[in-house]
Amino acid sequence: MFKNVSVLPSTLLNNFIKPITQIRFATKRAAGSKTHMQDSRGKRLGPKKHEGQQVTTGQILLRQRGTKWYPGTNVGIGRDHTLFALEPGFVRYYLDPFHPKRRFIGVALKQEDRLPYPHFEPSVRRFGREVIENPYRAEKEENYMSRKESLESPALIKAKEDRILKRNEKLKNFIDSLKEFGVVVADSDIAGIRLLTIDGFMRGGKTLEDARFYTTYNALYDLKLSFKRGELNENEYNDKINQYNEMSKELDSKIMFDSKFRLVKNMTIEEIESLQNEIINELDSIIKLNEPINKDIRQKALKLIDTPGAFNLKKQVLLKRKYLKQVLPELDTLVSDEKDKNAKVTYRMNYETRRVDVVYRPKSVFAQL
Amino acid sequence: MSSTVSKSIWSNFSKRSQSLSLKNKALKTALLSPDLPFGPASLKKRSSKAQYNSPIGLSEIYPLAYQILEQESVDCYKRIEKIESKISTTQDQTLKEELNDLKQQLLVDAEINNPEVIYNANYATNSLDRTQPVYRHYLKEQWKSYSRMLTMQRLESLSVIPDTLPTLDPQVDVQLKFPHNNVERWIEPGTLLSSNATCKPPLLEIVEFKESKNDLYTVLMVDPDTPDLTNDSFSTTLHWGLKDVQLSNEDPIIDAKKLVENPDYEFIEYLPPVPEKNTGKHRLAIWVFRQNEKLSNVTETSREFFDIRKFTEDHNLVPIGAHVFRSIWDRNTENVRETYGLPKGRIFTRERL
Repeated sequence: MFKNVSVLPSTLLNNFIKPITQIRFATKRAAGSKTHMQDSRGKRLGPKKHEGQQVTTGQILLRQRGTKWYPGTNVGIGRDHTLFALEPGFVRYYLDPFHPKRRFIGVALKQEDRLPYPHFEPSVRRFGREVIENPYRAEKEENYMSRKESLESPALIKAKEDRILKRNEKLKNFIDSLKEFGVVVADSDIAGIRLLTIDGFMRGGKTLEDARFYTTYNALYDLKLSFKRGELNENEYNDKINQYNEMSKELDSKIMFDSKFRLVKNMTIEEIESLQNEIINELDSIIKLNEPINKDIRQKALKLIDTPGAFNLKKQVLLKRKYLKQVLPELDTLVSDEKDKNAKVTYRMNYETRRVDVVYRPKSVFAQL
Repeated sequence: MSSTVSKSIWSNFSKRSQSLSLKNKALKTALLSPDLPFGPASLKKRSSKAQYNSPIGLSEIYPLAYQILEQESVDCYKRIEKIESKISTTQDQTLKEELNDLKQQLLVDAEINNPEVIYNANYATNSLDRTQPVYRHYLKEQWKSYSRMLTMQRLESLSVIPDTLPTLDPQVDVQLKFPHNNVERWIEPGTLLSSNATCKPPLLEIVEFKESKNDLYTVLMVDPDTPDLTNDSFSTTLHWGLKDVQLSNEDPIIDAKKLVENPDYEFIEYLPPVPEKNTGKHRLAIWVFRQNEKLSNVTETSREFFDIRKFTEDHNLVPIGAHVFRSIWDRNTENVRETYGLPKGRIFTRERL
């Protein structure tokens, strides 16, 4: 058998062997189902500063995964829970009885300090700033504005200027009106400013009495401060106080503000009451309750109710409700019949009969505006 | 009033204060009538009144319930009479105090369910008669439900406690405003105020919830954020000191009028907050103490390096209320310094070193 083989031509042999050459088909499964390929180098976690070590602001104290340690006094925590110093000081690892399940790393400001600091004692704080001695740098720092302030300040300055202009105009009017009321004062500017201040207080919601008191109080307080600054000697100070008191007495006896902040002649409570009675009597004489009134009488009554210095706003509203009703009540005399050509028709649900009532009313019962 | 549900004590004002009744006649009629003759007083429109129907059975039950509550009140007043007679006979001081406390409690119990009182306590809170124990009770409940919590939260989160005093058990409601400004409003604890708004002394209202006749109070205003450069830390400055301020339930306000009338109340005159540039927000803590007796030996003359803990210890003061506002350097601070004759403020570095 072997003899036969030996005589085979080499070409034949080659042809015979070729088909046997191993070919790899995709019959095998793809690799890569291993689970232990996620290994990486150590992340160098752990404490970077030990107990009692001196640190400066921003130094890292500990790298960790999760909060194995919590940030204590003067320590901050980063996005990856890294603890870092917020103040220069000495590192302390400690427990806090207020949080029994937590461990803390803190920075004590002094070497001998232990953490946590006593709970009911004032907190130990570092100021950490210096006075700028250089006058140029100090001025620069004083004039420094944050972006927000620099954006807002032009509008604020403009508003303030407008306010001052308006205020001065008002002050001028007040000073001019002093003569009208027969006020005799040495310094009309101070009297004008007093009126201006009272006006402001009353617009802010104070009563006339309170407004007058606080105006005097503020003025005397300012005088006291200027006396303390040494701008006035004692005699001048006492003179100024007397002058101011005299001026305010004179002014308050002549002028007051009414409920709509108009300047009116000063009146005592009795005078105001008698004026009110006068006005109410006149209203009674020109208006009979529940009777139609014409336009002129309405105007006259409005003017009477709005008499300067007579009624406060609440009383004015009550009087208008009493004398100047928008629609008069449905008395028998104030309801017209169906055939009246000028009657106004009102439809109204009657909840008792559950029907819509039709009411005819003469035009005169409605307010003539 | 056609018919009233009140048959005994709650319609009898011979011994009870008039402030326990309703002022508004329409409301009173509505509250004391069994069947709402003119509809609910709170409804203004005639159509709304016509549409309103009482819950079924209420007009029968309301008078019965009212009578039961009124009877309980009658019993309370009987007990109060007995206690009053006991107080007048007893000599023992502690027993007297105990009986007085019991009397105050019974005075609350006697009126706490009175519909008129409840209406006033809920809807007329600004004009309540604080001499009446029952109104003080309702005011205290109202204070506990909001203002007290707010004040304590601000004091703690701003570390006024423990930077000034260790802690506070609040007993009074302290309110504060600056009336020298055109617009005066009560300041919420913790608010940042401008140097102009605080340039003159504030007005304080100290609302007591216990019976108070001529009690004496001490008020201190301190700033624990004054820079202390030698220690690179902070010190406390005394801005305002009042002592022996006499207040009562009817008159709980410390204002300019009172200070002008009683110049000896102020032992340290008011110094407005004038923070220097770049020293941050300064906290101005106002502490209120009730005194047992007049403070005779107050010798404080300097404001700087004020030790508020030592002061309270020396004078046996226990804090009963507090308030806080904040202040920061602004463009007007230098003007305020000038008017008070203070030197120009220092400028500190913007960055911390």
